[in-house]
Amino acid sequence: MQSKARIISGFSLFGALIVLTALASLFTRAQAQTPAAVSDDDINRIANQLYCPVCENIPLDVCPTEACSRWREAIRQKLALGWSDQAIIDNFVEAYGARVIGTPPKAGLNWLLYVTPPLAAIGLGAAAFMILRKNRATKSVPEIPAADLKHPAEPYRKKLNDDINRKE
Amino acid sequence: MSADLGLGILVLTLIVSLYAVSAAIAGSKMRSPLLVDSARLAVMVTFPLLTSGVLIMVMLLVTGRFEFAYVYRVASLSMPLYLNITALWGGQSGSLLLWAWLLSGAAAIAVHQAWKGEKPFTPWVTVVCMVTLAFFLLIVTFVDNPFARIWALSNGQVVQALIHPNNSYLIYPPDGLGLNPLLRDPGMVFHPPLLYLGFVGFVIPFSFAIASLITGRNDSLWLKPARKWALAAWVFLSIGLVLGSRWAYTVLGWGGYWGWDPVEVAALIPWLTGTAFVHSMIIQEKRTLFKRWNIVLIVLTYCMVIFGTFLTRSGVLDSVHAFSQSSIGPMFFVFIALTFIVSLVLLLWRWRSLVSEGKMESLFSRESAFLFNNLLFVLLFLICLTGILFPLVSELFAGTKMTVGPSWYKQTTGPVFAGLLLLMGVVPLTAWGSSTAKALGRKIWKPALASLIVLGVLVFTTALNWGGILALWLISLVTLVTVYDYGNAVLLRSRSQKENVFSALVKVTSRNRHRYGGYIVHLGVVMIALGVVGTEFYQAQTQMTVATGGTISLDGFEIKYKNLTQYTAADGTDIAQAVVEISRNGRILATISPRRDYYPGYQQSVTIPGIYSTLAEDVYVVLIDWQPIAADGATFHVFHNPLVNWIWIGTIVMVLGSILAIIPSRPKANAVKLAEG
Repeated sequence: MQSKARIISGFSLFGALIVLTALASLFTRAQAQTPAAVSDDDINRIANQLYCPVCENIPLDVCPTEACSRWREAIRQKLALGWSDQAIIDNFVEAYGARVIGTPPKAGLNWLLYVTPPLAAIGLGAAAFMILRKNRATKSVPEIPAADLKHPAEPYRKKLNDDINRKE
Repeated sequence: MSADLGLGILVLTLIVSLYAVSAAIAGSKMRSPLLVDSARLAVMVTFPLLTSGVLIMVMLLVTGRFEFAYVYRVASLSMPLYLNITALWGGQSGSLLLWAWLLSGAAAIAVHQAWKGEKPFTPWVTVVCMVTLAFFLLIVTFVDNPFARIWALSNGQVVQALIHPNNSYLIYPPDGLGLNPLLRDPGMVFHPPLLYLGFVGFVIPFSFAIASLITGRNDSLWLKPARKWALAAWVFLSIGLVLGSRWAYTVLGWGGYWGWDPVEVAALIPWLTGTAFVHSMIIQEKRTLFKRWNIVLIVLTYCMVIFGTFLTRSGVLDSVHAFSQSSIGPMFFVFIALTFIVSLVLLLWRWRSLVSEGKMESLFSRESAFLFNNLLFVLLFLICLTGILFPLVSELFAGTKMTVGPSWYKQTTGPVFAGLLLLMGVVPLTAWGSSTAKALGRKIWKPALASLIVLGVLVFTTALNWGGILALWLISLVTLVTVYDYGNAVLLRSRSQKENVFSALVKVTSRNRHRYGGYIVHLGVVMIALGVVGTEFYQAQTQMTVATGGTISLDGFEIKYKNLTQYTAADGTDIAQAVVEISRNGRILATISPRRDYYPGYQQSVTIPGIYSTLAEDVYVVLIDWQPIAADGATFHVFHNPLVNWIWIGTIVMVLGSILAIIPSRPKANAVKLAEG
């Protein structure tokens, strides 16, 4: 008896899930088909990743020109037709070239942009390692430069630092 | 008359500067103090000469002498007096004239200073300053002269020329075009001159470095005058950059203050190398380390100063901040290449004599911390240089000028800035010379523990944004370490001398202005970082069209659109101004007026946002669009920028700290006796 009830309950849950999924699907489709569902924020989310093809170095979401206003409208229409963000960006790249995106694609010469910073970091890190290693190899007794000793405030400063260290 | 006088002054100053170069070299070679002094006096003369040239130009601008091509392009009867004066640096030739004028003033002070203090350097400081001045004067005199006038030739062609062309007559336009609308802002008064003061200021430490190389002085004598100039230049450049950011924030209507635009980055680059130099020279002063490295850094800074001017003035890179297009690019390129090669040759010539006398004993010493600081700044410099050069490289080799936008810069520079913050937290507690991890740990554990408590609080109280939380933790660490170290010194003094805390604070600071000035600078940087983190990690925005009386909600704020008026201003600008009410939890906080100004002459719009500002945040409202016929709807882009005002407050603190660090410490005699006893 109990197992029968469990089976019925399982079927009910399964049925409810199917109904919910169908409703959600209908709701999503209705949203995609209504142009009004595309908000300015949706457009700006994509326009922010694009640069004005006319005025260099001005992001599309803030460019005040008439041409950019039309491009933003084109984004709205494509979103209303159900295009994905990436598809719209790809479409812009196809139409106006890769310069309309702020992050050049990782291909060809553009790799220069992506390998230079890590290479520079590695190079500078290696330089730091070598400097420190060289200095440790020729370790000498620490000395306070003569110029510091001549400074009248230095003994006072040193006393203060010693006092702080003692205090701790 | 004015044109002839202006041209005459420029030519005369060029001749005087070239004379100064020749007399200084001859004086040095022939060991003739008379010739060196003559060169010094020639440097002194360039400043009043260029001052008179600048005054003539300003007079032409304010009196509306539109027959001068430069005046026609940048001045207008419809602009207020202060903008017509600032129009001096509103175009290419005028801004280059300003550059030359500021340099002549700085050179006059520096050469006089060298003559009084570091005499052996005088001729070579003169040579470097005057070669740089002559370069700018060459451009201003022969390539882009602000005193050129507009002529109509007999064939109807209109040309601009310095000297009256045959069969031509002068054209007197009734009014000028005026400044680019984006430049018609009070920010125009301070931002460009301060930026240029920063640029020009770095020429002087470079000139002392070159003088040191040529004279073969392998000690640190050149650093004494260079330090003050570099710090002053750094302060001016910092203020110039932040004022530029503030200007962009209030005029561009992008909701931000820094867009990683090529011109912004070009101005940042010399600041990066200059900041590395400002830190690195301390090591040479204290421990006689990094002698070669300091020369490299100041040479790079000088080249980047000229490069920055070149990028903004040549039109080689388009930007919202670039207001000119011209053919001066190749001249700048040749000059930068020549100065870099000459500096490099001089450095290699003296390479062996520039051996560091001190040693770095430990990975945990202050010297090592400064080394890492320098490397991180140089890494930032290389990243930024890659970012602004890449569009040119891609155009040259692939035929497409690629755009390098903020996301690339943020990804690459973010971790480096975080590393710098971490170092700022550690450096104050490191010791010179031999030091161990244990000793550093003993000093740092208390503030580090306190910062971890702050981290815990942040995790539970702020929106889960790991980047933001990490950055806020680093900020808390730097603040706690700085206050802990500073506070310890003050309390110790207060107890030992039986003084009240305020008196002890003043005395401890005044006895070691370099150190505690630096601490105050660090606290200023922390405040700036707080503002940057607030806007980078916690900014919220939305754009919406609302009817009159409609409301937009964002982060708990209600932005109510009240009305919109359209009118034409006295200068012909068409203005659309909305009235918007900001409220929170039903309480009205402010009424602001975002607007859009349209300049028919330029066919250009300027978006002036309405901003509701508090210490905690800004509500930044931009009028995007409106319906002129029905007038019952308007589109607004609203930004919520948390903590953004700490950027401006931090800059003021940073400047105060820098001023304190520049003033030499004057210890009292009894303090020394006390220490000796």
